[in-house]
Amino acid sequence: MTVERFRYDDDIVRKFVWATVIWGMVGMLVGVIIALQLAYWKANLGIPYLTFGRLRPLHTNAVIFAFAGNSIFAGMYYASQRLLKARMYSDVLSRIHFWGWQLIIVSAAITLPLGMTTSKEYAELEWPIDLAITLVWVIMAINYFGTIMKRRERHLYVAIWFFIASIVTVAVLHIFNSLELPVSMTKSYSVYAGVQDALVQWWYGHNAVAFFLTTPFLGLMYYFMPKAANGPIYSYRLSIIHFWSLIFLYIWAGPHHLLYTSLPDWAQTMGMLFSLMLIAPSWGGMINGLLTLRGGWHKLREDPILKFMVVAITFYGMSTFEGPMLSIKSLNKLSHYTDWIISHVHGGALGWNGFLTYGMIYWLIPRLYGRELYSKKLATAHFWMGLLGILIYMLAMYISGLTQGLMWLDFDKDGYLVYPNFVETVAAIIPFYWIRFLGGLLYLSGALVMFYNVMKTISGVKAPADTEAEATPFRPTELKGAFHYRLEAKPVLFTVLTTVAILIGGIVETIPMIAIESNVPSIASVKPYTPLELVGRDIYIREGCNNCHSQMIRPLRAETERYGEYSKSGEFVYDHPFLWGSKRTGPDLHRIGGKYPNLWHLRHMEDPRAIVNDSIMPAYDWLLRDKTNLRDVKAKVRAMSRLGVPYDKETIENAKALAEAQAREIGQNLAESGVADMDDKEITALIAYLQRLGTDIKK
Amino acid sequence: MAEDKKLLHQHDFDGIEENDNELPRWWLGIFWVTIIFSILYVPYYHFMYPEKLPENALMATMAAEAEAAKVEAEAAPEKTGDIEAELKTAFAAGGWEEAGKQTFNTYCAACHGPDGGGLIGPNFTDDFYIHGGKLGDIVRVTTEGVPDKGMVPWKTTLKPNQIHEVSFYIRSLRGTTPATPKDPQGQKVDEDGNFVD
Repeated sequence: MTVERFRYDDDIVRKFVWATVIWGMVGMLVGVIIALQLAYWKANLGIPYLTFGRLRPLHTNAVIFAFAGNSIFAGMYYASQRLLKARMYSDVLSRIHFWGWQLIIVSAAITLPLGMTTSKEYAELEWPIDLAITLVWVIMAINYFGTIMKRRERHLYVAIWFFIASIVTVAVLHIFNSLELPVSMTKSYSVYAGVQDALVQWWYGHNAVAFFLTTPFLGLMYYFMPKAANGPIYSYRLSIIHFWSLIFLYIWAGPHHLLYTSLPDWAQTMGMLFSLMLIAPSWGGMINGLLTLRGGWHKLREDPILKFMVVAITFYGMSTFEGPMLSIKSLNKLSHYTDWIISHVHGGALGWNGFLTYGMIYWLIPRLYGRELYSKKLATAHFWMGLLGILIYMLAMYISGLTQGLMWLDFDKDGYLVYPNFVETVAAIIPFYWIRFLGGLLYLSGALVMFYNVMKTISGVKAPADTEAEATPFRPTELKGAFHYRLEAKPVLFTVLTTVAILIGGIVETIPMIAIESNVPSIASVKPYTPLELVGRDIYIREGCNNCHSQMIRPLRAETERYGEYSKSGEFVYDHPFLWGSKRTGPDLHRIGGKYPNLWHLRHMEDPRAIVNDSIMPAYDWLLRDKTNLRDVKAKVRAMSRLGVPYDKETIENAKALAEAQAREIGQNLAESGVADMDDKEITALIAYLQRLGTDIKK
Repeated sequence: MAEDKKLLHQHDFDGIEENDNELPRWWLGIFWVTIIFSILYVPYYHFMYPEKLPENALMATMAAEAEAAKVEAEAAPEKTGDIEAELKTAFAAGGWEEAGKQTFNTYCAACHGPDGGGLIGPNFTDDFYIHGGKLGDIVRVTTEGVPDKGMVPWKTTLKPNQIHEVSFYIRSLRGTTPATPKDPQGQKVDEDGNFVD
């Protein structure tokens, strides 16, 4: 039998490892900065580009797509070449993938602080970058499937299944959630509106967690855990059952982000039930990972790599239990919009994604550079700093979330809210924001320790040549054995079945929402925004107001009492994109329209503390100085009209004049109240939008 | 520990081996429980007890509260006599000063100034009123607000006694000298708060 000799591409793995290490520190640093801003609002230094609303998307994008993304690619390129016994299909495509991805990250780091955002969570990047992501992802997919095609190993190992599912599903999610109509190079509107946009967004958002932060990491776990533990995977049949059930069920669970919103009840129920059914499939992965260490638990004491991995898998198990619990409606009533969710996601991100990445990097570095790790002690120190950091972080946010959630819902015996003043519920949790900041700082310090350790390890080492390997060539003999075993040798069929499995849930939930009118009962008095309100809405989006304020009053007594009439789906039919938000660091704004005089808003935006003593909101004084950009207002109205918003011809043609007229009206009102010359300032457009919010149903 | 069940087609991937142990029973148990719960939950929640759906539940709460308020209103003795006179008596009796000031500072000072001199909202220290200067007028405006002008109705936030206390406090600011008084708005009123033309 002939044996073929070939080399694995180790250089590309080293590139992705470095990108992981560096972007990880950047993403976490931004996280620590915005954590500080919540405890101490002055930490934004009064600079528009550094406000929480603009940096929060940068933090989430950086840790998800830059840190976790590069980590996935590093591990995927290393493991897949070895599991398939083949060098990557094309070195050139690998490098286009690498540099393309880094370029996308850099463009995100520039555009998000500039306020160029679609406002859709974890999909904030504007349309040219969306296109670039699609292109780079397709290149990566071609390279990956090309490698599978030229493999020397007949059967695909379970890690490869998870990588295939991730590559296919992320492509589907990204494309359908990012369908948007460009207005200019830096601005676009989602093609979906209101409740439909919300459903598509959380189908995406939830499954970004599933297919970017879960399935690819399970792929990494299935390779690096048995490698590090030097033991067999616990159960092959468990891996089959949990793989298919996980990818099939996950896709349905998105609506659990929209419980008690104006999403129709049937869709909310789907979200809750499919989340509950996800406990077992998720834990299947945990069992297979943890039980790989059976008989070798004593190794944990010695080996920091196993420490990282075992704790990572444990956090995976905890998060995938907590998630379904938070999806139960009666608990979600309390936890939604609060820091409890922030605690939950950081258990997943810092614990599962972060620690699995660190375990993998400590395992990879010596193998990629041919030298022992500089210091095992430092790696162990990193582990304890990280773990303590996570626990401090999560505990602080858990208490803060619970405190705030209970305060919001609290009624006294006479039927009055105990804390009618929202800011009281903010002041109560500031101490926990400080503790969270310290927890995050500790976790980041751990990452810096690793950076030092890795730098020391490789100092003076010349990167070794690509690893040589040998294998017998692929022999297409007759396949025998059980169905799934045979399926594992048929990557095309495997990929097709995977695609079918992940499409079903999305189709069943989304198509009826868009096709059947009764899902969004229309309200006759709801009219499109005026041109100036539209411009104001875009300022709201630019400043990222939706990162701290919801526009979705839930049908709960505590909410209608605090904010007014609960939100109806028919009110959002012209909202491209929807701006419901997911977190209330500040109060809900859906019924803010007409509640206060224009001057109140002006004073409040200029200096929130002039109105609300304990407010932690940044001052947006530049809105009182910067002139409103009305150059593309016509293009904006026309784009909305193309998306089906019923503007008549005159409104489109005269958009600019109409906007100026409304601005003069508000400016005159402000002048009468003592603040002159605001007609052409951004604050006027924003006030126009805020005063319109939630008022149509009162007409 | 029981012997691991080996895979029939035992074969390693880059040195990684797999056992083929049975699915843990407790794990299968969780899976089945969640599936069965889900199947039962749909008819339970959506068809047997639709009153538990969020909007229906809220409507029921609101209806019950409205009913209770109605019963209470019917049971309460008919208000007779001169309400303004009763308020005047209570105002003169005092005892509201501290609580009224505190409520004012928490909720009113932001718009009307810490000393009532007016900022976003009107000045409370002069003799001019937009909606009337009688104690009853102040109580009414505080309770119901003036939504057209951005005056918030406070009845959902403040209890009736708090509204009285803060209204008395506001009345007591008339005639004081604020640091930066806002220009008078509305019409001049007499000592009792009646408009004088």
